[in-house]
Amino acid sequence: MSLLEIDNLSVRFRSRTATTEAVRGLDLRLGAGETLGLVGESGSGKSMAMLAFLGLVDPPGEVAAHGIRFNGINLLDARPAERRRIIGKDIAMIFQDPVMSLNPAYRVGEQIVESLRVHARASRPAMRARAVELLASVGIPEAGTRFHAYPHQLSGGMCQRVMIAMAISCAPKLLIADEPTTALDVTVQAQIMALLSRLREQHRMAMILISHNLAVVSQMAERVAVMYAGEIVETAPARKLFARPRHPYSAALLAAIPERTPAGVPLYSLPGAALRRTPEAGRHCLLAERCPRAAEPCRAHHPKLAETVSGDQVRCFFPLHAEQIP
Amino acid sequence: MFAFLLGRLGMLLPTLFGLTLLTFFLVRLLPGDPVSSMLGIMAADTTLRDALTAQMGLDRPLPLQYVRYLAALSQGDLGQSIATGEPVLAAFFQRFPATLELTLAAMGLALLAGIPLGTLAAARRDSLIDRGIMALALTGYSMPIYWWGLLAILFFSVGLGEIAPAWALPVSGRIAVEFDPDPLTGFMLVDSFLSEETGALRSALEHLLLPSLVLGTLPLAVIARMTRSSVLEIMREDYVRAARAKGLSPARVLVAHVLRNALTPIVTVAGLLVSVLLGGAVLTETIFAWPGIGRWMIEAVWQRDYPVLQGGLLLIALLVILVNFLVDVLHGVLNPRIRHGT
Amino acid sequence: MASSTPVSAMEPESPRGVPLARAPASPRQGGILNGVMPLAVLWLFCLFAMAACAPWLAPHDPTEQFREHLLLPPAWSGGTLAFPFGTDDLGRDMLSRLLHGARLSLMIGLAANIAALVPGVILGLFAASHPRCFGFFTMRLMDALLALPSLLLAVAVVAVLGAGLVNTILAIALVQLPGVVRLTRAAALDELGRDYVTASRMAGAGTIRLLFAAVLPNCLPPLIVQATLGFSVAILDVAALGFLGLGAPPPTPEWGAMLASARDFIETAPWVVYLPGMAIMSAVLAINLFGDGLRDWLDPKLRMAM
Repeated sequence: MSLLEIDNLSVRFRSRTATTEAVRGLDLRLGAGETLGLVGESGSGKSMAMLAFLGLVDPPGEVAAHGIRFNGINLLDARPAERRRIIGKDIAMIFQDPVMSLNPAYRVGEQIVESLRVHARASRPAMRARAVELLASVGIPEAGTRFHAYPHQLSGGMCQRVMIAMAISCAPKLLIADEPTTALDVTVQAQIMALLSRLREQHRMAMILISHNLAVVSQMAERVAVMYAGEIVETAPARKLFARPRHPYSAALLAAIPERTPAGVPLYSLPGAALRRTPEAGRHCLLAERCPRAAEPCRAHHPKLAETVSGDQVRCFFPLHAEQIP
Repeated sequence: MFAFLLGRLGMLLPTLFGLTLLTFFLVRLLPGDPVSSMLGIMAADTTLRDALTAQMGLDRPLPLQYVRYLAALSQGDLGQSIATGEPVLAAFFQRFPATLELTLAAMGLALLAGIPLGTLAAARRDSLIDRGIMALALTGYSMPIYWWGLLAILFFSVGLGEIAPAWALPVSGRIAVEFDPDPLTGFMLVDSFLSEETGALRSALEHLLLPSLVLGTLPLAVIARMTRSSVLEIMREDYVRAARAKGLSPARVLVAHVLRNALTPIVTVAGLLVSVLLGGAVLTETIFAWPGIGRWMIEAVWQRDYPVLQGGLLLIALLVILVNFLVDVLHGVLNPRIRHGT
Repeated sequence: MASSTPVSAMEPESPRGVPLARAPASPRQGGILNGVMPLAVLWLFCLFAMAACAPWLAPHDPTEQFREHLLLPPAWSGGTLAFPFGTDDLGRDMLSRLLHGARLSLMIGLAANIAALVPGVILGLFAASHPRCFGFFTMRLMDALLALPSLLLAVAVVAVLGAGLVNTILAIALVQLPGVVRLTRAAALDELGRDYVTASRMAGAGTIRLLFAAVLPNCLPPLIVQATLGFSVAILDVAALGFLGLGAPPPTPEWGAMLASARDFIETAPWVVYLPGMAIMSAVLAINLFGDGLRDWLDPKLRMAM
């Protein structure tokens, strides 16, 4: 049984003049202990999808889905209080900008204690001790002293470690890491990824790693889902996707990685700009305007996410690297 | 923090200097000489004139007069009231508790009602509740305080008096005439409580109710508007989203994370409102016959009692400056980033 | 290039699930009370028109006392159409006094506003361009002025100069001066730090030319908003001085002064309380609404927040 099942999740933003679909018809399966990489350019709906299933999208955003099940519990029908018992405990999330994600008015240790307090029963001294332990476990030196520090007194990397300590405080079954290293120095990025990798093994957590950095994803994830314009366009095992991307957009993403491009060759860039997704846009392939392979059907119909023989999925009328579709 | 406050204190000195210049020259602005305008028709009496001129030191050159003024100030000597002869400083402090009680009650009302109302409006953004609260706030913000005072008398005293005479509120003074508690603290609520007379505290409360409501309306409106906009701003912060992702209840997110950070701008505005309140107290005290410094100053204006006017202005300005300094201290307490001087 | 069979047809993907988040409120942009903006502008226009045409619109002389009609109620509650809004305690026609009062209030408000803006802008600009000595002392003086509650300062100035129209204008202008100076200085400092100013300096532009031709136009948006809100404060303060008996001398029809004598008739003739107050409040409310709208329009950053 999957740990997480998301069926047909959509997020729309309605304004007086237009409706934008940030996420449309998203299906996702994640097994216990599995790591899924979610990649795509900024604004492709990666983060929005995660916030939506946690119930953190505010009006004017509208969230709809056929079903969201976590660990056998239907999150869709759960009362808010029930959902809150799961969120922060069984599902934890860390964010792109760690410095902004910590409340500037409180000491970082207290913020971890707050997390412990809503989900566990223990005495205050015990929780403080536990918080110091957690800080030490994410590699913060002098954790006892740092407990009393304010976020502005810590570096970005330290703040992200604090966020991670807070996230694992209740031993979550699933950790959502939303671009966890984007805002950090390059030197710190690798440390944080190594820390996440170690904690994942240690706690046997499942993980959804959101990133636009394919190199980072390839190191961590077993399976990768590529998102474009609010939709999943391809899912495949990480190795396979990197070796033989099937969707033209995945191929374009890979072609745009500097490390994979020989020196002297200009970096590939996809022509045009990402589409503003309106409900009407669903009548054709969303990539049609920018895709070198686009043909007649691409402009007339919207492709389905089709399953291949090997169980991968691709949303394209003319996928690369032919493989038989049943 | 300490350095930050010291810097603030350093900025205050020139301001204080400017203030003494202002109050000193205000009286010199009098057309003609102040003595004759003070004495009115009695100015014809030359001995009286010369005596008063000498007493006020007006026969000396201007810079010397200013130095003498400063020297007297540094000893706490603000001159004597022309009307009553009492020292201005003592007279001020005798009436000050009444004004302080009134402004504290008004500010308390503004904060206790304004912050929840503003927060509610922000939490229910764009709803009917939000629009209702904001429309009320704009009305309160545009309400002439003297008119609002008269309306309050009309509704709560005259109107209520017709429907339920027992509930009609008193509209003049600080306590009913039959009570005369010893002025131990100057705060009528405290004094009437200490006097242990039955009904005294109730009477004092009833007398305080309308004036503080009238005086507190403008600050209430300003604080509600400020709270709404600053809560809305904080709600968009990443750490609020992170707090919600921790599984905290909406109430806890709102109070512990949003309001806690929205407090800094609210405190700033509340500090600025102290000056507005003291100005409004002049009108409120006039309408409700409240024996505070506002009415005292207006009486001084009518009696051309310039030492009282001059000294009163200086003391009130000092009070405002002191409050603003306290607001800076409070900022340091509320905001760790200021405290650590980054 | 190998191509596979095109995946057939489009699918209906409209999600019909249960909404997770709260039902969406209508996502409004802009000020929350924007709907009443046109009304506010219309009322302001009417006020100015009435003020301009007061002598022709008013049915009676505002100071004429009709001794046989003391405290006559308005036409809708038992009065006569000859005095549509009733009369006051001296038998003067309320409507005529209100119309002439509008003239006075708006005129004093505008005059005080201009009297504060012109020197305030000049002081603010020079305080920004000469921050060391002139700017420092100007700003400390403004701090000192700001430390005095505005109404008390106005009262003190009028007390010293004597009550009257011109002195009221001066007092209110002085009260508003520090706000204008501070705002101008802050905006000008912001502008002076920009590259185009440095470029003009390098090109040899003189300070005064630079300040008025290059810096000032860029400081205008916040100043316009401030001036609008200052106008409403001025109207409130004028009436406050009138209420305290420190405004225009007695027979003059002034809104605040009309309220001052009203207290004694609060039980017997409530219209003498209602009408002038409503005049003041509606004018101030309309200007504030207009100012809020103007700020939203001039400063889109604030649009979301307020």
